[in-house]
Amino acid sequence: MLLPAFGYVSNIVVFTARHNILTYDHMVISMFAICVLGMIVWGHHMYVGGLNRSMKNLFSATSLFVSIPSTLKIHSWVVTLQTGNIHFTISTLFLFSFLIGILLGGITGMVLGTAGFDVLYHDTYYVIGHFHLVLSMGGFSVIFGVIYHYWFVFFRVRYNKLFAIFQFVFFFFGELITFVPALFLGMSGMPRRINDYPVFFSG
Amino acid sequence: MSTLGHGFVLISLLIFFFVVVEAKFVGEPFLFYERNSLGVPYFANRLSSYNILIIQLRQPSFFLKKNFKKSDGFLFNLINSSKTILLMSTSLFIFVGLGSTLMPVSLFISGAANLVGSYNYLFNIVSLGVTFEDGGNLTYGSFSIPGYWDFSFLEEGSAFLSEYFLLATPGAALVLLHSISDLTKSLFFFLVILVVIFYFFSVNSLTRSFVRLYGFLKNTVTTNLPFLNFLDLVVIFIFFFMSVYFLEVHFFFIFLFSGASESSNYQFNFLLSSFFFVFLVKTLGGIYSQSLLFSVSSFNQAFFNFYSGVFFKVNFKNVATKARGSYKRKQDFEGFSSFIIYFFLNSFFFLSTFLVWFLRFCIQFVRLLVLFIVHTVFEFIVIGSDFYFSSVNSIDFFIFKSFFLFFFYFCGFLYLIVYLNLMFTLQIFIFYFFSEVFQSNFLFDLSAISISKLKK
Repeated sequence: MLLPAFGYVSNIVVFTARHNILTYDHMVISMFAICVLGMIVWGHHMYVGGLNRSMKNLFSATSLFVSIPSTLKIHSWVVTLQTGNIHFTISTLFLFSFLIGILLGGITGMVLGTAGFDVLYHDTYYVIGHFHLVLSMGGFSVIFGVIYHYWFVFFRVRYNKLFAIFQFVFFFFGELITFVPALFLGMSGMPRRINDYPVFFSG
Repeated sequence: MSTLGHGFVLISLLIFFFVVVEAKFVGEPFLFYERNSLGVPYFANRLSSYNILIIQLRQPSFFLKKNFKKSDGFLFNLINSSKTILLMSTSLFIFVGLGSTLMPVSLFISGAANLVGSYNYLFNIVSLGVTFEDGGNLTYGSFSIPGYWDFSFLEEGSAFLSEYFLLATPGAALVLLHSISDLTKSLFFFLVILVVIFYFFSVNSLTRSFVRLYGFLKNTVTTNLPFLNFLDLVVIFIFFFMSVYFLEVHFFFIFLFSGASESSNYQFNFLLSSFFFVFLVKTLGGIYSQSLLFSVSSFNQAFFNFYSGVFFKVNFKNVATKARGSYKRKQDFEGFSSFIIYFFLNSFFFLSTFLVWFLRFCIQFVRLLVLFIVHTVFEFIVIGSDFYFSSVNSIDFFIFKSFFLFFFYFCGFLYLIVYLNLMFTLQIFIFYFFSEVFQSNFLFDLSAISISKLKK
């Protein structure tokens, strides 16, 4: 789901760092690997759904394997940024927001990819925190970053950078405040899809 | 999860929309033509755009019509009245600006805080039913909703909020703003009261002198730059939010009545999502560059087109009597032929979508008619039993069924015709006609070529 966003991120990284992507081959190979591995991780939604133990092991392994090319990509972006001459734009801010979001979501995804932990965290707010950090913080950061990046190409007008920074600040901290506590709530045992909840979880 | 974070994200989206609108106002280095200059246009940058906005807002050439004659007609006097202009502009600004942002937000917050309560609140408004409370229970007709006015859980929530600091406990992120629903209800009346206050503020004598001094509204209010931009802003607001809103309404209809198969749902979803992207890129781009309806860019284009016209046929005999008909220019034919082409393409797109959706509506009509007949037959069978009369009031079901029938047959028809045809046609249009091909004077070139061939 995030592969198109990865492409845009590479675009923004190149523009920001004024440097071509380092380890370009790794980027291509890892993108291909994510495509292939993405087809055989569907079992990680069914750890508590009656899969036998060997299949759980298999899908745990494949789910954890996906983190390797993803980490390679993040590594390439960071190294490119470190090597190049960074020019700060609004897209750069959203790029960092994307990197932070996908790092947090990816680390929690490693936990959820393991079958034993996933049985513990099944149907808790930990899952919600994980995929919202990946898709909401990561995905929407890329969307806003791309819109700001291609703004002039699309609309032929210039946007106000000051208010764009305001927007970034509210977006970034809002996403963090919203979804990071969900991880701790899930670790405390807060269930999903329940309207009512114990007094312990209320402020 | 925390309402604070949701609010931050929501504010960020609003700021993003503000960035879009602000770019619309002053983001474009437009050609500025000053009235008192010798007709030399110059390019304005962002800073001078702000200056021009402020200068135009402060132009002292404001004319108030004082002496109204009956011979001018009621409508003429009404339109030229400063009171009307002030009322319309202020009420439009407040309703469109504040209402379109605050009301969905407040409804969303209230719905998140107290879903059942807000549903009952809206249900009472919509149904216009007589409600009364007895001992903390809401009674509506034959239905009784227990504990409707029981807000004790809100007090518990606020007590917890006051006792513990934010994020001091593991579940602190779950703090919800329960008491916001009262604020929501008052916001609606606040908007109405604000408009009334603005109106009475704007029509008194002190305000009139203020208006005369600073002249932020003129008699030529319809021709100045901020007003035209404001009209564009209204168009953006209405088109964007109403398209999203009607999309929601559409899916509500489809999933509620199971009015479509899964494949058509999928196709429709795909179509709408693609159109949404088309809207984002093409419509905003078109509005920025050429504008949708009212545009300074269009004005400049027409202005230079008009003053750079080439006269290829002049009839000096009829100059005194028919000044406009005494000359013929290439640009006039181009404009006319482009208008014809636009008209035919418009008719084609509109009629094609109209026919398609009219066929769909006919099919739905027949299906629901059969459903209605079957339902009625079963209902008569059920009425034949004594148990039915002893259990519930039967007239409720008849009313509901008739209401449903009326609502779907008539309002559904209106919904299909008005929304689907209009929005789809418009969006198809925007996709084709605000694309780069047509922005590069494609139609003008086409019409020029056709004219040159006709002349040969």
